[in-house]
Amino acid sequence: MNMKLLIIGMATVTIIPRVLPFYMFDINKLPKVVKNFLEYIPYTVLGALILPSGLNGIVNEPIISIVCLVVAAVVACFEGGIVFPIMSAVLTAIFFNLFF
Amino acid sequence: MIKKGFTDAIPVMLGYFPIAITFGILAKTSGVDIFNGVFMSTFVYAGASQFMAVSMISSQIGALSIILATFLMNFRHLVMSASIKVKLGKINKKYYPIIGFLLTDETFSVLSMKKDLNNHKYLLSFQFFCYLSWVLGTVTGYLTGMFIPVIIVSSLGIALYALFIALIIPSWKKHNKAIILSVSAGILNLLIQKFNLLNGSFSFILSVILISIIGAVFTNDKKSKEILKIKRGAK
Repeated sequence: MNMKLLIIGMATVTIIPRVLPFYMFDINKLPKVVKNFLEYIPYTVLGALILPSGLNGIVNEPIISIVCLVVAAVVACFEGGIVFPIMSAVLTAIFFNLFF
Repeated sequence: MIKKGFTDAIPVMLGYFPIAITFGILAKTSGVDIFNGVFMSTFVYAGASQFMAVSMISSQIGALSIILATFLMNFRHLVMSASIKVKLGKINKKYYPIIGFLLTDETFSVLSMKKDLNNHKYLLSFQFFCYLSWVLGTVTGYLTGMFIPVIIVSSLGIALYALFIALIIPSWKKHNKAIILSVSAGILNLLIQKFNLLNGSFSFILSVILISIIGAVFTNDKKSKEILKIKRGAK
């Protein structure tokens, strides 16, 4: 297989959906309902990124993954920020991977 | 602003690095040489589809099928780019191709939770550092991957999901709408995949678009009804 051509092909079909929307519409002319739709995308994206893939965050260990994510959520609730929730989730994962 | 970009990039970099290392190791064992592996991370820059490509290469599947699968998998970025564009404000149009090329699930998630994105230095440096972590991680995977303890690599697998959680929680505190939207999209995506109705990338796109549409229509109705009431009241 020609790897160079494969990679160029993969790059092209990845870049098109990433870049095209920047040129597709004028924001000021969008109807309110479309603006709302675009405004809601981040929340639905985050939800769909977490479920169900997050349950396999630690591969083949759904229970440990859930525990780690709950720890991250609790820390995020009280502490805020991004670094602390991630660190506590990763440390929890290391703990479980070491002892179970 | 570049410093702020770097600080915000750290969590994503932390998540990307071990995944990129894993990709490097996997690509190496599938017989992809280091030049092509790093070339792929540099020009495709899409985690899931790179993993898929490498496993398809090792099972002798043709290039066209791999490219088609990549397209279907990365099609989801269409909605993310459209959503980010709305927030770009005064940023010069000449940066659009770079901003778009460097937009991933993770960089989108971080950027979309910002109130506004008026500073191109912040935006580009944030995206660049995440990108750098992905490319350098791939190189590291090829060169030294075997020496990194499995427990560390496996445990870091949770990092990006913890990042998503840390991004969504503050918005949950602010408004119920965020809770309803994210929870219903997540559950819909979970159910579709649990019952094998659609594959992962289609399920993702359908859940995101469907729930966002329902949300948008619902909000719009409510608001226009309120406006109608005010108008009637005025008469």
